[in-house]
Amino acid sequence: MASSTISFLPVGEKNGGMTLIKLNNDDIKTSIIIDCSIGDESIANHCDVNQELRGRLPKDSNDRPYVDAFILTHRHEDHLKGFSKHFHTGSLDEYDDDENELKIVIRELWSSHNFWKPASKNYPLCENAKIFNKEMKRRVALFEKNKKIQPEGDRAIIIGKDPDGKTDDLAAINYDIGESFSKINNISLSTKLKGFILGPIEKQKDEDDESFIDQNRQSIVVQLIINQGNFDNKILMGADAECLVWETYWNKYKNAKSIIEYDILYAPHHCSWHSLSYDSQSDCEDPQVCEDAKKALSQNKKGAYIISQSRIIKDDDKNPPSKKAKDEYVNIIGKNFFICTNEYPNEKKPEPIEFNLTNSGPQIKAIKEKSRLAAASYASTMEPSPHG
Amino acid sequence: MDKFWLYKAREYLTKHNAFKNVSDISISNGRKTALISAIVSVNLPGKYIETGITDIGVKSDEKVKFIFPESFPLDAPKILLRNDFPRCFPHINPSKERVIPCIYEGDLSEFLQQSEWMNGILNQLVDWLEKAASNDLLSYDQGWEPMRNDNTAGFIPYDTDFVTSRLETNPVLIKEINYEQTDRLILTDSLCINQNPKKAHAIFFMCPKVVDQYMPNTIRELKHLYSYSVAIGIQDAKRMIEQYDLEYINEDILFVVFSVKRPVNLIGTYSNIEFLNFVIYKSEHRKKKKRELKRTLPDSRVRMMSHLSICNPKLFKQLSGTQTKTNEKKYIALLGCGSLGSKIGMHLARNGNEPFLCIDNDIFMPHNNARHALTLTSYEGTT
Repeated sequence: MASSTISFLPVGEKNGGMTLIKLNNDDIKTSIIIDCSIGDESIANHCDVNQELRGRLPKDSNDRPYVDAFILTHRHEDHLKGFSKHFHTGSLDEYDDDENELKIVIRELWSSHNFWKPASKNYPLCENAKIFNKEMKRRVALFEKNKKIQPEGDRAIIIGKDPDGKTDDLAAINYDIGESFSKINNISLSTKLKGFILGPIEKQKDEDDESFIDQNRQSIVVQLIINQGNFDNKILMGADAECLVWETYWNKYKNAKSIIEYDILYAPHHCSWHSLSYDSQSDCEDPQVCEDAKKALSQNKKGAYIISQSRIIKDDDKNPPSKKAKDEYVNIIGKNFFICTNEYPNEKKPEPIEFNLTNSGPQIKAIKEKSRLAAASYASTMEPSPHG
Repeated sequence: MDKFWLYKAREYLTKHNAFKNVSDISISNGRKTALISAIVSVNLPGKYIETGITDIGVKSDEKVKFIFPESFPLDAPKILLRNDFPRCFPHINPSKERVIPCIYEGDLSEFLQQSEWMNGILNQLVDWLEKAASNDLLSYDQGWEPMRNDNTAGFIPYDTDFVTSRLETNPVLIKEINYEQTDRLILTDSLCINQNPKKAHAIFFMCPKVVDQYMPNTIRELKHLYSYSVAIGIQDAKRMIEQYDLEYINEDILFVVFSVKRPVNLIGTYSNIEFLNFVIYKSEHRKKKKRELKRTLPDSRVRMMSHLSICNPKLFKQLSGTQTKTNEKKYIALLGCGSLGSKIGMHLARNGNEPFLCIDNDIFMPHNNARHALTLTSYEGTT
């Protein structure tokens, strides 16, 4: 039967995050987007990520494009670019069906508990993050008011316990770190999906406040297990988590490695050197890899891939992405299995990297050749026709 | 052959990202066809990339041949895979030697009328090979593809509903079958043309579990049939076949039907039960040995038959595409059965409606033959 898919879209000059997962579970089709990064310009004057995304999204009975869940890993602009422009916020009663480009409906919105935290001098938030937080608060307030799971379009899931106890009465819409889940949009997908929430982890010993409240440090890290036949496709979404987090995972899970095992790893923080090392690449003469962090990122299964959702990786001092970090990843899995979104299939014409999550593990989907006659055709998003 | 379009087609092949080593166009003069071969780079699941071949035997470099007919680009090229490409997949056209992937459920030529032109066909072929590589060709959304039979022995009509309901209470069902053998085909029961058909028996078995493994027909001998029956969970097929072979020792053939439940409905049907029909040529083997054997031996020849639905209201309802549920009965009273009414009644019946109550206060006169749906079988003519 048809596999589930995961697509990593190419990103702009300033990096970014946007991953689309489509689960295929008999009659139930579920789409999950993790972060969004939709600029106004096409990538490398070639790939229109907005069209690539929309072409892959389902439409509801009102003909509105939708996702069953939007998971925001953290509040940086490169993971929220285009959020207010392309996604509907507010009640669905206010949805505008007459817009030229319809907004995407989010049936269930996922966020860490940080959405309660207001912007301040030490905690700046971009405009999209403020809009996101407001939407999250609106949805959570509906749950608090009615004490039951909200209707579709108003649903929300909070990751992690709020330090001030705000999540205490919200158990039904709250997952703590270390918990697993298999519901998306309040529908159980237990035969298809199992998720394990790895982060954001609690404040570590010797960790200062500044480090702890950092947006990247507060990233949601999840392992998603997507079943196909007898095979579990394990996807480790590393978000922008850095060295301390990975080092901690190794110490926590070295005796339960299956929790950090993967068939596909989203290379944390756009292939940043700081996910593998405490040393600065530019200031330090001989920056050293943190072995424990690397071990946490080395639990690859046979034939696993590592995806760097980043700009083209150049051998310079700019980080992320870092050539040095790429070398470490290539060392883990081999050069054929490390792919940078903006270099696939080549730097000049990047296309989304799409995998079928098959009963033999992830399989890259071929890039569909487009029509050479019609200029505005998005063949790569089209589903193949049934075989005879 | 029109060279212009062949060169265009070759250009599409060379520019497609998944194709390489595209050959020159070679034209076979006598047969008026043109051949282009190429290598498809198939994306294998990660764990097979190192060895370049999947556990079933799909390679990362697959050679394909395109055979262009004279009528190209009105008609699509025929696509051939290597002869030793694994045949254990669904969506392969029935064929004895060559492996012809069935990459589209409709007519491949349709792609040539769309804006993708050759790219439509090439994308479809790459997708087919990719799904073969992950053994994912069977799409439950589309339905279950019935067991491919590369060489049918004949046709056997029976009522699947009747068989299914009987098998639910009895483990096996025995049915007498009339048949006749033409040069190439076995025709049974209502299909027989001959006035004196031969007699044989059919044994129907029900498979106790849902079988979700696709397998094309590879059964050639009785021993293959025995091991297949065990594999799908029918334990006593061998014992029953031997028993009924002896019971009807004078009959030349024996039909065996397996009723197999699939995880989804079969393509184009409303049922998830697939009927696999076989014929055992039980007397042949005895003749070969030139002596009377007590029982049919495991090397007796076995071939596969095609099932036909019998003519009943349910079949008519399915084929007419009406919205009425197939097992829903509605009594219809037809008031007025004249020239118009008779035709309305006829079409309702052909759509699978029954039973009828026909009411008319007139009698059928000779001139009514001109317009009425019913006609007399003979009339007085001038000859």
